[in-house]
Amino acid sequence: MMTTLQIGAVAYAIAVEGGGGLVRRHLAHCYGHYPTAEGWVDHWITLRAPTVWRRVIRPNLVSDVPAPVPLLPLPARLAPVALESAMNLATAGENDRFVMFHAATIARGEDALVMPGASSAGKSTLAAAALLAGWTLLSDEYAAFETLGERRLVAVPRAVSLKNESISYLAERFGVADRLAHRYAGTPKGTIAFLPARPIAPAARFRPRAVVFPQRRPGTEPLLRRLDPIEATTRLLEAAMNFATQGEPALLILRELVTAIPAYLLRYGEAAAALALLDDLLSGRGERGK
Amino acid sequence: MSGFPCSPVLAVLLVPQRFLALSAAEQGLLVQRARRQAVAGRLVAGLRHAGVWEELDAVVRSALAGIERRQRYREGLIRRELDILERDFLPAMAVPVVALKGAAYLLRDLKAARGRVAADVDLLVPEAAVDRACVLLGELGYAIAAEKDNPYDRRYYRAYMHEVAPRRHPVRDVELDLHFRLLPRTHRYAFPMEPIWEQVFTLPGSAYYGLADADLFIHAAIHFLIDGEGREATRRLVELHDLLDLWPDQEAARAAVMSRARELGLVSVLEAAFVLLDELADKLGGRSRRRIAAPLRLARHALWRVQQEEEGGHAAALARWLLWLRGHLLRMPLPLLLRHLVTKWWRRRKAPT
Repeated sequence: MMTTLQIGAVAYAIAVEGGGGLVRRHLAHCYGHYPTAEGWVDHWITLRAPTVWRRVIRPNLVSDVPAPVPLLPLPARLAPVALESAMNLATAGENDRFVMFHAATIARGEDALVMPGASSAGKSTLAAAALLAGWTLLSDEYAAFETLGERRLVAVPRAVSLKNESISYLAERFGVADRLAHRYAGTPKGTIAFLPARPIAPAARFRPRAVVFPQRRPGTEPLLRRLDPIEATTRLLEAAMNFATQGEPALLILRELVTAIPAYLLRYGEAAAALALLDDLLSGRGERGK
Repeated sequence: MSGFPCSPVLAVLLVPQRFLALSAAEQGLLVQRARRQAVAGRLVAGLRHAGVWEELDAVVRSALAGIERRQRYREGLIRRELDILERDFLPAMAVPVVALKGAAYLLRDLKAARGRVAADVDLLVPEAAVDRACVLLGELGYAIAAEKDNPYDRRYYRAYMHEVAPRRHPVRDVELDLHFRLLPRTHRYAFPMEPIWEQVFTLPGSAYYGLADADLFIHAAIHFLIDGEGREATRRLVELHDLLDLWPDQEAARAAVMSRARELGLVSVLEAAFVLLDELADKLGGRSRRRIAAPLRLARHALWRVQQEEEGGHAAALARWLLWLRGHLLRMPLPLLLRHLVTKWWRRRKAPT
């Protein structure tokens, strides 16, 4: 099977040899309401069996996207996980149209919050909760900035990848168990479920209003602490994906993020309470210098 | 097949205007394939040079500009490494140090440097000076890559190869390959280095030396045809094509290179190189095919298969394996090769995972 998808500003073409049924179900569930790509396609991703016999005996799939360390093939029952992970790798490693940070990005109108964080910091949980609470989800993985013009944020609203306890947490708190019904157990990161996002036009642009570094600590009250520009710079550089190779535009974007807008550390236990704080922050009601 | 259509990467690299005839989606696929064969920078440079940049769609331009920035970053790393070595290493060596491959193309500002994404710096020193060069590089902080830093690999490189084990500075992300020959000592086509050293010359505005033009071309050709394993066939073929620019035309290039090849005992190899370049012209313009010496026919076929695979054609696993086998058989006599492969296999098995 072969298909194309326009996911916000980034277009993907996907070809799958084997395991096509599960991928079709995943695409229909997560991207059935997305348009197909009309022009330029950024990433061409092929999923196939690593060897001829792995097509039939204990079928496995692996993508052709280059990875820093060779990818392990996944069983065909995890084909959607293999696909999403290939889309991730391709966007992170082979897209030089944008300056990118490893960050969830959410918005109200055109005003966006950039939420960088390492894996397991809680940014996907917060991004998914924001999506379910009516925010616009730009991405749960990347803050992608244009390199020209006003260097604004673009959207890449792929399905949110939720892991392990985050799945049941969101299913219970937001009553979306049906949307998280397809769960993939036994992946290298445990159990994974994908929450469909909402499509955003390729031309949509967003203005970053604050940088927020989330830290999920179940059972704690939400706390928003202002960071000084030096700490914000250090943390942003840790989240930068193509900073060194993108030169001047990357430097200008970093300067803008640490000098023109505030940066905060957000410690939270309950996503809904954290989102209330972020709502206040964006609307100007919250403490900006706490 | 990849499941997607084939892309005319090679044709577009040589005639950039052809990029405009592709749909936006096809352009995206071609750019991805070029990127994975390390020729995306060359593609962008070609489009800039051909004056078609402004005719490209804005989205395409922004993707290509990002590739250009990435390539310039890598080029900057190589230039900086060359500058540091020129300041700290060359004066202490007191023998000619020759810049090879990408480093030479950059220092000479050749067409082959245009958009090239160099992964490492390749230098050549006289064999008598190589041990001192290693000590000096160690004092400057360069260390052997961890996986090669063992007595077996160090001895293998020094005794049988044409370079010592690759080194890397811990702070700077550039590999340094220090050569003392142009082909492994035990290679079927190994030649003495004296004629090479007789013709090296100081590069203008630099403390580095360069190979004579014909030797520069021959070095690129032998790594493509008789020492490689068929990796990045598209890039190597285009590089060879770009090096023809050292001469006023292909006939002048052929005369100069073949004369030198006769001295070095490499006639059949360089004949094959020119046949491949002629066939490249065939593919672009439709001229007749030339004959080629029998031993190189299979290699030529395999290289074209690999090149087609790089453009999205059928998988060329057998061709790649043949090139790998051939590369190893040419590199050393069979008993030595078997001993080496068994040792490598055994060491890998014993290595902690």
